[in-house]
Amino acid sequence: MGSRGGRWRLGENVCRRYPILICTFSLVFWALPAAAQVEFGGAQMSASANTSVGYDANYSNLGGGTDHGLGLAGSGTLAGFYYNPNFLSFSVQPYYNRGQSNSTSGSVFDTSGYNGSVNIFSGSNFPGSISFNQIWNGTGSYGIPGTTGLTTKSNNRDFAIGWGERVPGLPSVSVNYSRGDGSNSVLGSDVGGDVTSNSFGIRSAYRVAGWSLGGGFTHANTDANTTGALEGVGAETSNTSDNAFTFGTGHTLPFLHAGFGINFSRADYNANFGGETSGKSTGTTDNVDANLNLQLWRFPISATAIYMDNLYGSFEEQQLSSGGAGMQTSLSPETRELLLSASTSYHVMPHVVANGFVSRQEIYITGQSFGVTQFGGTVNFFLGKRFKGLTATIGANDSASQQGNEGAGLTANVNYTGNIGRWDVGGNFGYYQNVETLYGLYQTSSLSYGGNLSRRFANGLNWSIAGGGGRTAFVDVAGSGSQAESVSTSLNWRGYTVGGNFSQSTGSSVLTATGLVPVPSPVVSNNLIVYSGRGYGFGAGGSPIRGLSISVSYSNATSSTSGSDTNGLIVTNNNTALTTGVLTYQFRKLYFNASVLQFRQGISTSGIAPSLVTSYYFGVSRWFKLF
Amino acid sequence: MTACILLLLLTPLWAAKDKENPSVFHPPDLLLQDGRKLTYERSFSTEKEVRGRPGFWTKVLDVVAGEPDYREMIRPYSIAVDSHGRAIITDPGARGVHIFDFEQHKYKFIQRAEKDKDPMLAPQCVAVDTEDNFYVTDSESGKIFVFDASGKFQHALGSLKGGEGYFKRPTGIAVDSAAQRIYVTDTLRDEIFVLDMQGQVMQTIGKHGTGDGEFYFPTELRLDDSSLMVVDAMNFRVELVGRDGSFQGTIGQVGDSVGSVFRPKGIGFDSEGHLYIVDGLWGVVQVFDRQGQLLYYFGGKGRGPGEFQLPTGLFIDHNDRVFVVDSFNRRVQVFHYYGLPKQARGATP
Repeated sequence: MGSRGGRWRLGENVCRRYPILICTFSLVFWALPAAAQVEFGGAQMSASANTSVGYDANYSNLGGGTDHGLGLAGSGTLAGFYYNPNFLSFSVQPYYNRGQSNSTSGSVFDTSGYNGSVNIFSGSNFPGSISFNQIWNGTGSYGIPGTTGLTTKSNNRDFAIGWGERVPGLPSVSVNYSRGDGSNSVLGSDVGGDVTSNSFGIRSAYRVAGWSLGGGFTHANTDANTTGALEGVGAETSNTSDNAFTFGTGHTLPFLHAGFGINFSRADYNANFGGETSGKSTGTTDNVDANLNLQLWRFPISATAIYMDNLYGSFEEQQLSSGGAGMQTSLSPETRELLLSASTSYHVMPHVVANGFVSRQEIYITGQSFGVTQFGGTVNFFLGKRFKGLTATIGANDSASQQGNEGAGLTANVNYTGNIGRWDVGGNFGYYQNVETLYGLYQTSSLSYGGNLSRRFANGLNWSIAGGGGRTAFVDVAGSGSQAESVSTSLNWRGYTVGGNFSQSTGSSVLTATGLVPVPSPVVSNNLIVYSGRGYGFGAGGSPIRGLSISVSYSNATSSTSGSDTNGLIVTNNNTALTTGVLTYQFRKLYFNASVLQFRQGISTSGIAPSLVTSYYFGVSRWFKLF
Repeated sequence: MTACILLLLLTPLWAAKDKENPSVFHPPDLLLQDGRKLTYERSFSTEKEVRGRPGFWTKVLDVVAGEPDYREMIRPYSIAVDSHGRAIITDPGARGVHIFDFEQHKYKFIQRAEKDKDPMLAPQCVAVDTEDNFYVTDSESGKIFVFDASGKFQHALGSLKGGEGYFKRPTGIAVDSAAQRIYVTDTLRDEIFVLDMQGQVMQTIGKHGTGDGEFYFPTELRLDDSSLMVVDAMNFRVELVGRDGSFQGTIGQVGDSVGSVFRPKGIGFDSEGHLYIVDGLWGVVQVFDRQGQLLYYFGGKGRGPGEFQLPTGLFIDHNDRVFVVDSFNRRVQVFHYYGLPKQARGATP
């Protein structure tokens, strides 16, 4: 009796200490026999869930300090339809405390949230949809081009609704509205940013008497507080509003297989920004383009005319809409452009195609007019029989303005995909010299290359490697270049994998709420941040016995940014390192998990200590179908 | 509180007893002439259906840890039944072969797509010899894989040096154990290869064309006592040839009405010699006599019992059980044909 009474007391103690745990398990077990789709008031639904219980120990300087204990986590899916999937269907996926330690989620933190969507009348001529999601304590990335970026802790919420009409014989109409807001803080610093955006759009299309007609209106506004984590330019705020109207029409012509189209668009924007560079930007951009396509004997001819009355405005609008601050550019205050171009091609031989083009640009900028004429040609070779998989393009062009000839340019492009012996080989190489002009003002030279190699050896051994890179620079503009390189490799053998990767990049950018956005440095002359990043990582994984999987990985990204504010040049050095190890054993629907995670991120100019997170976890999770 | 928790924990064990064997709608028997009939028996699609009735501890384990991940058919194509009643089903979608043994409550899945030597990539058709060895054509690798009765891989026929297959697209296969010959259709070559048991080509039958003794994309094969029946797919017919390759006749013609053949897939014959032809597009099985006269048909497009969506393979065992592979519904449906006793035969149904 004594021992029995002891067990009861033990049970009562457990119940008092972990009531949520016990009740959750009880409910899960109770729900199991009901595993079938249920019908409720005309709605058919199915639901599944994954619950886990585990012990974790955390060592962190992110505010939570050191703690340990039992915790619950889980995720679920509820999906179904009312009457018929084409009438109304829905899906909701909530999750709670999901992270790298207890799930396949890549989050450093215990993230909670939900995703949902509803489709209405999807089988009719009036389909509509609603989607929504919210994330608490998510792991995000503050972008630095060419690397994995800086890790952020973020909260986000998005909502979108759309409806359309597509009755045959009537003009189609689609309307959509979306709203999103989010905030993030860059780990390793004491600053953060937030963005709120709204957008509304309506579009219609119609075909009548051979004419295709289309038009639409969009409105968007974005309020952004830009993080000052990379203090080169300090924190910025911006409130941007955009309106855009578009209209287009087209028709085929009764001769020479011809057709033409005309499109008109007007966009106006209004932005207020504060911080290091406070001020206001407003502008209107009109854009008209017309195109004509026809077949003249064996020559398909395409001619295009484009007129834009405010190049500066369109460029500034792009930067502002992504949350960037106001800027000074070489395009201000007013730039107009007219571009006329024509191109054709000809099959010289079965595997050889020649292309030719001519273009004329008229640019009005800073009170002066410029004219640039370009012409050139390319020859495409499809080397089919002897060199199967090999294609090559070689071309040349020449540019001239009122200042005289601006020099000849070259293009070369080679691609190969095929097998050499037992090797699977792919490669590409491109070279472009003095060929691309930015708004008729700058010529660009660029180089790109890439390749991949793989082979299946005996005994199931596979090896592959892939790499690539590129460089771009404006001709005669010192310091305008950007470049990026990357390489990755992996070795697989009977379910075991070892791999690694390396990447690096340099260039110039502007600061936005979501990260650095690359820009051409000759165009933007203020608020520029020069970045360079380098990252590498390696990992290994395998399944030594059925149901057991083990994986470890390490990644390290180093980046530096340099910009200038009123205090002069400021250089920031950033480093992010992440180590993970995960062991999972699956027995039927039970998953036994153990994991370790170590995260470190530091930003040299932030003035606070690097963020550190170390966590250990082991637990068990159970997948089940509720109904 | 503790009592409540115990009650909650034990509830599923009691509740699990009440969900056995929900009633299933069966299509009515098809009553034929002279007392013959065709009845619907059942269908199967997953490994779970092979397993026997679970015991108490198995049920407890199922509740605590969940049921195992039972394997399901993905895109079954062809079927053969061996002397022990085991259904052997090729599944190109799963890149393997399912073996359902309902008598022994055993299931086996054979897969060798990841093997370095002679990988089986797209198992297409299957045939069984008298010792229950089974032969699987692989339309992608161009080989024939031979397995023993336990499912153990024996060797591959048509495997050339360097790993390539001898056949362009082997599909239908039939084994004549008495004569020690294997018949294989090479669909892209419009020929039937006659091999010895070691894979040596002894003879070829047919050539490309639309005439008698010619083929246009031949696919499935079946052997009976006197004839080799070949599904001549793009000639919309089943051609009957002798084992020496001599032309014996055809059954079926192209058309869009009952009795014509539009997308012939699997074929088989029952104990009375009637020829069963699966029509993939219409979702029916049509039954002809040896003179090519339509006797009756069964099935129809649908997902319910006795209905088909893109049916493919067919096999009739020595008990006149008709196995039809219902490919898009991911299942095999079993019917039973009750013919006349041998002494009473002579009339057509």
